[in-house]
Amino acid sequence: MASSSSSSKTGLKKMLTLKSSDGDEFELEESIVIQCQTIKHMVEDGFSLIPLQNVDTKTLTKIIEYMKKHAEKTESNKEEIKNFNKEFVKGSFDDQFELVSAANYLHINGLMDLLCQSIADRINNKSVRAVREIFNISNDYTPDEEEKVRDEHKWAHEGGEFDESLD
Amino acid sequence: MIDIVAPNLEDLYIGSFSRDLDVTNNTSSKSINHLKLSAVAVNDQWLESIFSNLPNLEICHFVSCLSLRIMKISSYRLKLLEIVTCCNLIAVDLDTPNVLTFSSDIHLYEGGRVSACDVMPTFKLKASLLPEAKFRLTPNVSLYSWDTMSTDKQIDATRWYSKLTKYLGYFNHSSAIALSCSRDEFTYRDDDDEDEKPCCASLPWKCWRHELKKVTKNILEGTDQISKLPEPILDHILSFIAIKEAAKTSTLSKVWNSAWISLSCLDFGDNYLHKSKNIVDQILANRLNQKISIKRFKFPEATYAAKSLNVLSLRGFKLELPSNRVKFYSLRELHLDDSFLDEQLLQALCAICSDLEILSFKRFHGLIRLQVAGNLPKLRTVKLQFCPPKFKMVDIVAPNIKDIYISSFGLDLHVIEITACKSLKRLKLNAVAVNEQ
Repeated sequence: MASSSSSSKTGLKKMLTLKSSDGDEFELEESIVIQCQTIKHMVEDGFSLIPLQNVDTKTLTKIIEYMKKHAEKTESNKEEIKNFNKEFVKGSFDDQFELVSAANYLHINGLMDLLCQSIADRINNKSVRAVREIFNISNDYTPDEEEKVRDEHKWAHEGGEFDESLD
Repeated sequence: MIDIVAPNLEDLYIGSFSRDLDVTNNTSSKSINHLKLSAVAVNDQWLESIFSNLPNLEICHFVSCLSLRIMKISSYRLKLLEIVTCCNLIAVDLDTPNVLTFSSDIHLYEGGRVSACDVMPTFKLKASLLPEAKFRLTPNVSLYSWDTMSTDKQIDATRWYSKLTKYLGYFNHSSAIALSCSRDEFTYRDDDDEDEKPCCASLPWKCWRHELKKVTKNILEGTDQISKLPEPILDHILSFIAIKEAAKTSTLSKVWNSAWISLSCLDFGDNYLHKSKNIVDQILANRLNQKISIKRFKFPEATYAAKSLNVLSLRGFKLELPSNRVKFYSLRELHLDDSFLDEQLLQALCAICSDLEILSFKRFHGLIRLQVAGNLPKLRTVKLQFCPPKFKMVDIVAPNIKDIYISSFGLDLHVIEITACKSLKRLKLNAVAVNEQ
């Protein structure tokens, strides 16, 4: 196993290669990549070529974009990062689910929070029907079962008007 | 390189990232019964030889072993063989009379996509029946965009189908074929071709269609991606939603109901449950029964035993915690807004929660004096916002405190004692009657 990896103390920028499930390779500075806990642990184990069998090229590209931006985070560009985050979660739901699975697998906590918050925002205050529609959730209850669950959580369905819009 | 000599070793699992890990013949580990290799560079000759060297080998999994091209196995003991993403495999040739299950993945890529996994290996099982064949279909559809799908989809579907049927044709002898697919792209019709093509009328065996015993599909309609996410992610999503909304998601589907039932981050911060103690008790009791530890909690009552509680954030409550039963040993942040506080309770709480780092009270009432008597070594921040007119005195002794922020409603909050706070970095006082001394 490769254990000759240079120590970060040398001051040289250590490069790592991430390889997507499609076989595409991305070379990145270690300092960017270690935001991701999973990779960080692998780097500590001496790996410099990191195959990510659960992450395809499209998703990995997005994740790298996120990590690069967040590696630049300082006290002064908070607003810029905020805008970046806002843009970042705008994609289609399909893309987001790929991303959230990957972020979970890679243990990128900031990205996990960002994505989950954005999905939560799309659920919040919406009617059950609207949420089903927005996320294409297939209702696997029988009508009786659904009635029973609804009844058990009557209090959650009471009061207030729920948003029926699908955005 | 891995070289193991262990006569009683039964299970051997090697998972590699580098794909050039070499495994030497470990002829001395005669007891190996279960072998799983993931991304290990073993070659055809090695594979062929292990079965004569390891007489007890019954269960084999090969995952991403890209150097395998022709898998030739001759074994009386082999019961289960699983092959996953061994993309360069062109033939599987088995002489394994006692094999019970063969399992593999079938990669179905959309048209025009060149991939190493594009070719399915041929499969041959010598003179015996295969009781069970299991296949996991993995159409790579992630690169689809909705705009381009309509026209190409038909072509792809045909391609997938012919590839699938060709491959399944190798398993005509199998007594049961199970297909599974986690993507919604896969549709299966039960009565497929029954009348149009008597597909096996002229054959001495029944074709795979008649042996297809089980087709499992995770998704029935639409692209229900979100419900496929593992439960910890759903939990994470629901943690950003107030309790009432989170409970409402239980009606969405069974997956969501189970995510709700085990939700570990309960946010009662929506000011809703003022009078609904029964519901809260019930929610908590459900989690207690399931032994789900609450990661985050926003609510006062009935939480006395939440030992791993890190953040307690309450709004609009009169705190009546029986301090002898409170077990917030891990509490790091205490946020109390619009709450009725009394001094004894806070003193008691501070005594229990010795790890407390942040103390924040906003628009509280009932409290006349706040005293932190040096028993909170980790205390970093004290925030007292909109202190009520009756609140008269702040007395803080905290060696590691960094931030103090106090704002008052009445302009007569006049006694502030901040002693032994050597680490204090920021002090902000807003409408507080302090004098020059």
